[in-house]
Amino acid sequence: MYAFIGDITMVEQEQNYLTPEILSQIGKEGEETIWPEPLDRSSLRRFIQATRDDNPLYYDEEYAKSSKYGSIIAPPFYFHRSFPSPLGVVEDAEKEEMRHRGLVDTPGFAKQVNAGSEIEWFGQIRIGDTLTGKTVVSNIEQKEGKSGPMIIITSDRIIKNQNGKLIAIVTNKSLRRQAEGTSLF
Amino acid sequence: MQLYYEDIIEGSSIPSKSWGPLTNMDMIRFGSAIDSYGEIHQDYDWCIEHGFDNVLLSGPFKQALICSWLDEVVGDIGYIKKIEVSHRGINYVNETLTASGTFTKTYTHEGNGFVECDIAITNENGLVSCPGKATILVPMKEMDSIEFNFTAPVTYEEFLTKKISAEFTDPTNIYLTKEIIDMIGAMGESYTWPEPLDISSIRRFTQGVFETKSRYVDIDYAQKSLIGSLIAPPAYVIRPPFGFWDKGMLGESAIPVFTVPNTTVAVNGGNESEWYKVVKEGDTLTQQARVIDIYEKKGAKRSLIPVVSETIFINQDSEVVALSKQINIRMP
Repeated sequence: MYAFIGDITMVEQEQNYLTPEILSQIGKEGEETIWPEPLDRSSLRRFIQATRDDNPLYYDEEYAKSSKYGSIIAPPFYFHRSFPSPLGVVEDAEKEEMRHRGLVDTPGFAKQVNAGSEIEWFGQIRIGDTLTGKTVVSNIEQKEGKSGPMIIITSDRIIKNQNGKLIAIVTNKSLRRQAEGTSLF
Repeated sequence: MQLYYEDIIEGSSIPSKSWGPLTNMDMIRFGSAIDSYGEIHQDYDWCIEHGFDNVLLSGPFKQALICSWLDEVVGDIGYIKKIEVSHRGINYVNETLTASGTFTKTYTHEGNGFVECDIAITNENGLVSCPGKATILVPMKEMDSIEFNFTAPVTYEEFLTKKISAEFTDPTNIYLTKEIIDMIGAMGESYTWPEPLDISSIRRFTQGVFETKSRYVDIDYAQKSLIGSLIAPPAYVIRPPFGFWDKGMLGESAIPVFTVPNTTVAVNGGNESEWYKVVKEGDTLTQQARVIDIYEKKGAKRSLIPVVSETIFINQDSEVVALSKQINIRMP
């Protein structure tokens, strides 16, 4: 980028906002979160009703039994549900969960939006399963956008079941734009 | 601390409890817990369009808060036997509600200690919105448990066969047409829970009403108790039938779908419920409701058309676990 000051022409370096503090967060791991109870029928029902999904594989036991899966399974995207507080705890744990997902603090870049996810599935979710999720920061980079510099955080969220079997990996990009405050909430 | 029958003084106050400010999110969480998604309790634009100031806190929500408060009052051993709540005022989201009351009468019956109470919910501006009565069951000092097992005054069979009807007399009434008067006595379809009571349903409901009583949330405690498993809070037992709003029905019971002519809005007028047995994890309830009265009441601004229904709740062994009377007010 060229800036003209008087009659002197000079090349202006792009300012680097990736401080050592920010970059040192590559590799940071979030706390492992766990479903408050094994997947049961009513949780599954609520999800398929909310997503208007009428695939009998998700609710019809007879149909599911005769399918190649052998029992009712959850829709692929079900793993993306929240990790609310367990039975007996009424505090709102969902925000806490979001904070864990936020993970990287980018002071001065507090305006945070989800820039998209890439999901790969490795296994099915069945009634009785209890999933865990853990997020690891894999990359932090700076890019120039139309409205100014952006910091992009790439993280992998690893979803496993109670037997340690990998169910899905979600690679997510979180985009941070310049704004006062902390990006952790 | 456990409350004992012998320690209760008639006329003394019940320790009050407050919640709030109760947010739109609290209302959505509760709606999800009972599978009820009416616009009036979720959708701000809809509420404004229909003449309200904000999203309304729902009747079942306020009643469930009262139950949760009374459940704390009766302690680990006691139970709520009966509750009667009249919805006299509207409460909106962002209000703080306080439940309070008085022990009015104590009596024993078949070895059990019962206490009648006057109860109410009041908001921060002093609006008393849910006056009512409750009967609680508390232990005598020598008791370390109570078996909550009563026989309802009516069986499912008797409920189904009882005849109720009314005569059409006033052809000038624009609300109570012959078709509407003929609805008195009409029985709704039976409605069975879509799945047996499971832990996530109990979790959603208890979190939705800020309930932490051991018998509802502590699995170890529940397994060691007389009952042997978690049970449903009483207010969950009388929840509206699932799918209810999706069917476009109005009111909080499974009565047949009908619209009173010249009305556009329906609000919860009140509920009276009595419980007879506990509902355990794994139980599947069936409920059925019928209309028992419809009449016109002149309100300050508009006519009110209360639709009164009664609902029976039975478990998978056809035992009556609760009976409920619901007033649903339709208005222009």
